[in-house]
Amino acid sequence: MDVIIQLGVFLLLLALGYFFGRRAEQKHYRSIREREDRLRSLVVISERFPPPELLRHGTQLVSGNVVVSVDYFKTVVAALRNLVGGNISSYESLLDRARREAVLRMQEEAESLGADAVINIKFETSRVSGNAGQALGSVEVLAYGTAMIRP
Amino acid sequence: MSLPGGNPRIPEGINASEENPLLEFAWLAGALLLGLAAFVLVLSLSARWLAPFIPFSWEQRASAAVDVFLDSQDVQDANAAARAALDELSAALLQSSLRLPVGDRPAAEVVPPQAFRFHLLSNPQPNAFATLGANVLVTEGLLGHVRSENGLAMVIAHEIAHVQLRHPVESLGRGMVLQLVFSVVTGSTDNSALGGALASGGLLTLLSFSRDMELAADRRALALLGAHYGHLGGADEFFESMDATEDGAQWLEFVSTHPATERRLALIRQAMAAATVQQPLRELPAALQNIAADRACSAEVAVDDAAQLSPGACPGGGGNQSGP
Repeated sequence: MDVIIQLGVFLLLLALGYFFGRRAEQKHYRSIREREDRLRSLVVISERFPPPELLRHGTQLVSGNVVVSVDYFKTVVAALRNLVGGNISSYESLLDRARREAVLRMQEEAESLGADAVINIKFETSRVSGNAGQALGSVEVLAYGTAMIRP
Repeated sequence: MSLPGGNPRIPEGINASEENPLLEFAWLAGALLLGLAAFVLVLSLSARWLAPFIPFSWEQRASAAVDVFLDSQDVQDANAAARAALDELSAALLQSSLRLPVGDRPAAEVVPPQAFRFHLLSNPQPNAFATLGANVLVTEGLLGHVRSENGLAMVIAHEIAHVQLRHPVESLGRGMVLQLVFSVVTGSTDNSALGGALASGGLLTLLSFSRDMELAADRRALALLGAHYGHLGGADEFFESMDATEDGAQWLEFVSTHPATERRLALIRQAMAAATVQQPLRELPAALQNIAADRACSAEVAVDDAAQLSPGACPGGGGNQSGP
């Protein structure tokens, strides 16, 4: 009986993780694409020095950061993947979203400052809740760069 | 270098695949289940063969339930002197048994001698058995069927041999061996399921040893008896007594799972005949003798030899005796 209950809880968590995780992911990707389109003209480059047309612009540090958590379904798939090795693709989409969202937030900050571009963009990442016990891990992605503000 | 007109559109599906994660999950889970199923299949097919290689410490995990049950039985038995006497005899036999290797391993390595526990059950039926966790049980009823210490020693030696030859774990069913292995593999210390199954399955007493196991245990017991006493006198006492009273009603574990008492008796007699040394038998310890006398009197089928052991020891109890 215990086993059945445990299995039931496991399957319920798995289903919840899958449906809500999947829905959230699709919704997030839609939003990401929308905002990327909107901010397409606010150029983000990794060049360390400003291009000639921006030499008279003011500069300011802008940053955007995101903390994402993995859902139960993804951890289960990742745990299974751990047994055989290979790409943990269920985490890849998560981090892809986090990266792009961080850039978007940075761009939004730059936009509010009246910037034309953000140069010298860099990424940082760190684990938030650690892997203490069986806790689900969260990861922070930080994007920062130098906003070139119109004079 | 000049500033680009705008950010490029990031092509999808490079950094994150668009494949449905359910598909990956199905593949992985399917492969894992298949692998597990194959593992279980192989394990269950080889359970019988595997059993003797299961370390004794694993067996002890499973025998907790048996231990608890036997401890509760011990409390009911108030006869401390008799138990002490049985313990003493058993410990001496056990010490001698360590000189006889099991296969090519020293006996102490197969089952540590300190793990053995000997119990005297206040059961009128003549019976003795060995079960999981190196528990050896002898009923008081059995004491009425042996005349000397040597006769009792043969029975105890037989049970010690069962334990040292790992027969209890070997005769566990396939499912039990699987559960045992899984409980160790998964590291679960909670053996309630296993214990419950053991208790409900009546495995405590009903581990049925095969004829080969019995004969192997007999052989080892004879060797042990020889090592301990230097002769084999009295080895056939219990079997002779049971052989004489075998009438169906007395058809109990110690004999019933032993399909051919006569054949075993023949083996024992053969060994006894081959042994040249003859020495007088030792008397039963006093505490056990009292019980033996009691039991011999109250037994429905009186064994005349046992009654002779202490003539007149059945005051008032003679009424329900069916004398010879």
